[in-house]
Amino acid sequence: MNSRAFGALFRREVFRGRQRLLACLIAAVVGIVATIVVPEPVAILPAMLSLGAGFFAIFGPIGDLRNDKITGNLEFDRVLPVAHRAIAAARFAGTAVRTTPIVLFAMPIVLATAPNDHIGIFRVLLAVVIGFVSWLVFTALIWALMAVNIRWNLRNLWWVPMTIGFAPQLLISVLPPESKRAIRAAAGKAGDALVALATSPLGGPTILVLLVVTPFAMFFAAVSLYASGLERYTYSESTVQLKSPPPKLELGAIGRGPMLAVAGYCIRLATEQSRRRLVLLAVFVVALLFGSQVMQDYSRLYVRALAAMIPGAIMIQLGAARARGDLEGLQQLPHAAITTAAGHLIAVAVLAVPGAAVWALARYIGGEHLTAGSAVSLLSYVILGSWLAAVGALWLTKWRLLAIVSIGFALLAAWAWYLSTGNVFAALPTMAADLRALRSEAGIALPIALSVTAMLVGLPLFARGLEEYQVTAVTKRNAERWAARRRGVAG
Amino acid sequence: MPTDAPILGVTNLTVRYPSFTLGPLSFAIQGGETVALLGANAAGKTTLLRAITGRLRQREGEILVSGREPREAPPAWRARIGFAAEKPQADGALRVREWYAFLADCYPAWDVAYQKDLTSRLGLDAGERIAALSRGTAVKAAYIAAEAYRPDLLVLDEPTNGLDPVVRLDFLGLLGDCFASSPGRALIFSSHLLEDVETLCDRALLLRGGQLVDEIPGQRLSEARATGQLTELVAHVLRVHP
Repeated sequence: MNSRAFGALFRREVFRGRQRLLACLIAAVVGIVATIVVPEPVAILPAMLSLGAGFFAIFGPIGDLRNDKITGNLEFDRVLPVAHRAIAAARFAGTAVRTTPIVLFAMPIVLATAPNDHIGIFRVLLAVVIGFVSWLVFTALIWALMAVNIRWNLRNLWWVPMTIGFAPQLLISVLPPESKRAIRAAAGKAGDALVALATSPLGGPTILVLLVVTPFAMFFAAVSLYASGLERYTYSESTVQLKSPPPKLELGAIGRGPMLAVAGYCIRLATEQSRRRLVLLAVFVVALLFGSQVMQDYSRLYVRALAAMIPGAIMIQLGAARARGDLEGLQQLPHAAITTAAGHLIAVAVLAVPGAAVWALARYIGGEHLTAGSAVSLLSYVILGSWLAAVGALWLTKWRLLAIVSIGFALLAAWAWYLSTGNVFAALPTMAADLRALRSEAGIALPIALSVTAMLVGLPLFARGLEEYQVTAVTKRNAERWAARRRGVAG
Repeated sequence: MPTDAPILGVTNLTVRYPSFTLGPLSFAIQGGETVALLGANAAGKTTLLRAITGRLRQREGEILVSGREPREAPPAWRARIGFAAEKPQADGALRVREWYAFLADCYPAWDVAYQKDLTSRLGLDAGERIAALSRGTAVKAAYIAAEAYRPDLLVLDEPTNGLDPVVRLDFLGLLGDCFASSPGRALIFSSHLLEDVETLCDRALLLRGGQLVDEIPGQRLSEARATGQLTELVAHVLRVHP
């Protein structure tokens, strides 16, 4: 292995996340200090806030890989005179450094929940161990997600978790009864053996070894997968994987004005993006209508997810356009940004109709009673979610996201603390019950009010995000950073 | 023929980056002028062009396009500026004609006949997806998108980069035709190729290290062109200035 190249790639990965790393470390330290300093009943508030900030340490490396894929920077890596496995290993080693703040983020929570205001050495040690284990687990998870994303594409793998869950049931459901009994007996024996091992004197050390070995195994597996993905990576200048011929459907005639033109543009791209998903959706709907009970259970969830993805395509378009710089084309149109925002809202609303219709069908087949009110309520929720996602894709920056997450955590923690007068976790079921009661009492008014509010608030935020947008990929500073990275790798 | 009304006025323009500062720069471009922006890599050409078109907001100084500051002008004012970079700013899944249809809905002055004429003259297949365009074809597609509504100021960032010599000459000829009959319009483009300057320009601005180090006026340009000294003249200026 070329150790200089490995070192350069490792440094590149660490350096690109150094600001976030520093910010997360500061947030963790502030959280720890605040948890110790503030009175015990409210100590949970800073602890929860710093936990919210901890999410940023997790999402940084994944977000950077996504940007590298969209902007084509991975092509630069692919043609480096360095083994792809070495590139992967260096990147993952850098990722492990970038996620080190996770070690500290468990500490405020462990300290805040210390009984009787007593923080002893055992409590601190426990916090460190929990933090270290969390870091191992989350880092291994991030490696796996990054490797899967580069090899396939996380967006195309939405069907995997449920399939893993349902596939055994599906298989078992078609087997004869005696085979089912044999499988259940074998599974029972395996379970018993595991329980016996865990409760034996060797159980503790075995679990510990597994905890340590698993991340290493994940590392090597992820390196192989990442290298294989890098080998196959090709850059596409589109949100759509352009393997099929262009569709016959094209943008319509001229003379509709800018707002409808923008809406048409978004819908046109969304139909292109959704072609494969729509075929799958049709298959799932057929399974829902005519399949066995297990098939229906399996299909119902995916029909809903795919239905949500119909208007959700707008968010994907915006995210890609923002990363790639195409958003500048929309920004520089000779119309107010609010007009472009309204065009996107129209597109979301139009695409939400088939999305909500399919979702309603899934509910109906599932035995739920459908009324006009519930259909309107569903449509409102689909518009609400899709529009917020679209606005977020354009307006959110890391600091805005940090602020929203922190405020959300703080509000939830304050509410929980108010309800519980101390024991926050005991209040969580009460909070959930309150929310359910609110939803039931407000009826259809709640989703309508929420979606209208989201539209009214989202329009100016979208417009602001569009006006503020500036292509980072072409700024001098960014160009210099990339040049420095390339020099570092070459040297 | 240049007119007296300045299409573009730049006064004390400064753009600051951590390790690079563009400016302060001051210059003006009159209606009917075609101006080349010459300079080595990292001289600040693209930064200057992006600032002129309002894409770079964090800057100091004043830029006036047709008498108004783009940052403060209403959005409709943007239709007075056309900007073409090396590729179209649209999702690659669209066909070129779909993108043009979209822009035609958004730009009130979009001339469909003119767009079709340019498409045909440049030999562009408008049925192609944007993502499938070659580098040279992408430049042409981006140019048509910036020109089809006849903006007062057309800004092209290295428009001939990636074009083969024959297509480049045709493209420069087309640009010359478009601007020869438009006294109220102006063209500014960046280039590394002195042939472009020879073929097309009334004037050349020379940029080095973020500073405007010289300006070669039309007469000096013609003289240098006539005696075959243009390359030497430009190279001399770019090398000599500190």
